Amino acid sequence: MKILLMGNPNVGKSVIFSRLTGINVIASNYPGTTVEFTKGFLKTPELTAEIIDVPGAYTLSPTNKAEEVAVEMLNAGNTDLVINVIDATHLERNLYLTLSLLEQNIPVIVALNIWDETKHLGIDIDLQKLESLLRVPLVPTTAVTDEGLEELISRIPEAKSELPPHPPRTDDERWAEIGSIIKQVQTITHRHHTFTEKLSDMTIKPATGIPIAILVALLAFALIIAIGMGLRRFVLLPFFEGFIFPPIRTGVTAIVPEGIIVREILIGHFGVLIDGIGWPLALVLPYLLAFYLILAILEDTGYLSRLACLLDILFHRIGTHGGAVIPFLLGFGCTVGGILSSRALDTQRERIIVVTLMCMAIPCAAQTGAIVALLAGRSIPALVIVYIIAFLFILIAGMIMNKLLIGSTPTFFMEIPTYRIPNLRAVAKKIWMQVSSYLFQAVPLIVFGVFIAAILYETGILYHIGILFKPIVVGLLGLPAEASVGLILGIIRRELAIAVLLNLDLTIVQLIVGSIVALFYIPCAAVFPILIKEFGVKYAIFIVLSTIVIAFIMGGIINATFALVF
Amino acid sequence: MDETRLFDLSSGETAIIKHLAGGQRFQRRMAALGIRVGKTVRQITSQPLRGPIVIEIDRSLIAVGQGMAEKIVVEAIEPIKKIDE
Repeated sequence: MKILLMGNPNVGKSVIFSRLTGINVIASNYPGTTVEFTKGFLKTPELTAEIIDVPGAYTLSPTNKAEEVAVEMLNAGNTDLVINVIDATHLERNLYLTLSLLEQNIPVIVALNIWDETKHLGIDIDLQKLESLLRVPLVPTTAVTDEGLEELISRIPEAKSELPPHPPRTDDERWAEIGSIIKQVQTITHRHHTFTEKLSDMTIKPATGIPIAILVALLAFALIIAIGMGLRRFVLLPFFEGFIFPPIRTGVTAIVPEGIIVREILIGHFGVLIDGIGWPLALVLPYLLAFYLILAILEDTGYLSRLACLLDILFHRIGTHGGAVIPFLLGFGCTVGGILSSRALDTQRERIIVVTLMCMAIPCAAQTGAIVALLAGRSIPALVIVYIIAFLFILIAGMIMNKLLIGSTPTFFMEIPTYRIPNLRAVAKKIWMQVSSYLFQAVPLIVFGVFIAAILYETGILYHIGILFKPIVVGLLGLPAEASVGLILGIIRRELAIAVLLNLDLTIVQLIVGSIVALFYIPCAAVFPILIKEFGVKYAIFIVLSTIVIAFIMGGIINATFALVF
Repeated sequence: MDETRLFDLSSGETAIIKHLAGGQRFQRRMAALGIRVGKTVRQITSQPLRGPIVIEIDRSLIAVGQGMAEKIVVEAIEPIKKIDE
């Protein structure tokens, strides 16, 4: 049996999907979190079914990529049943998709989600009446607390298509019918303004909203760095330096005699058992945790859509609109995630602009961790300078692309969701999903990178590479020749290009130049399959070449500027 | 004819949507978020420098960029003082 979970954006499909299948998918409080479908299985004594979490759609006549995916899935033909998730607090406009689905002649069961909110909002819905008017099973649910899901599952066998089959209606006919349904089932009682509404007003009106947005951004940035640094300095470093590294050093020293290269590879400069463990777990992990904690809170409260609205004008200057704030922010976590999320944008032109800027100048959380570890201890102004340079680059390069690329910028049009208090369990789950994918997918790559570095270093190959790159690394960038190893490791992972610098003795200017070069340099190896899949080989090659060139130019300019000024 | 458009409304003003000046695709996108002829909208705020306009319609907040707000023809109605405001 194949079941599709369909509904408007931001009605809680992904939460229902997680609850039914036990598979974790990212759910947030903004429209368009799900840009690709996820499959899972529901097993109960009575039935086994494949369930697909379909991206949110308002209509079955696609107006964006997510809706195209949704319609393709529905038309694939082998669907046995659709669970139509609708938002009980916005019944009227949600019913448009419901009626369209009923016309498809596929059995439908309706989950009237966010049911708990209706009481607070003074919305009263006559469930029996609505069920009899729709002529398909209807179950009120509150997915975040599991309410109603058992009933939903138990009533799946009752799902049916519209009987007798209704020919497709015109838009006007659908709205007329919805109007008549709403009149019969929904009553709204007047109620007083709630605190969340006042908060909503304050954060969206520019006079108060803009200062709040600046405050939130600074606070988020400061919190990520403070939590990351705190975890690293006071928890993880003492733990590894105290309990993990000493026995490893003693053990290896005891087993492998001095003078054998294996010993150096394991515990020497770029030791696989020292840096190979310390970099991913004590250097990067704390920032990853801190970033995803803050992001989850921003996502789940519903603040991001307000930020998108406030920043829309700024984003128009670089050829996109406020909606791009979401892929950009996700890019600060992981470039791959950011690229996938850019699917929610309206046009390919916008996606190219956003993804190009992201590959060039947006550090992922891992790289942020490495940059902070490299700079914050030495000079906070240096850290600020690096981020200001990246920000200015995004602004200028975005404006240039906006001029060069043919096409116009679509208008911003987005629902601003009601504020919700983040569900602790959901936030913890989301952080764990990101962290576990980091631990199992990225950490092995980092260890591999450190291993390559150790071999290059110990065999002396690095020395020759250093000579080869000398004109650029030493001549243009003013860095020691050994820094060239970062250019090789940086291809594997963004943060490795920075981490290499930790083992060198650098001046403040060298630290800034090194960070900038590593930031603008090639994004990590995991990005390329996605770039090729989404934009083609040519674009991927363009990104490789342009990031290398821009990294050297930016590094060269900064090095030369500092040399002139100081 | 001098028509009032959505972006002509000022903060707190209420209006009824009279006409959506766009093709079917535009009409559908608007309808998806509840913006239809006959609906009552309340302007909540507008962002500076011709930024998006935020409206409340059927208890939802929706941000509408200038390009779209120009195509939404409305008729302002007398503000009714709510009891709790």
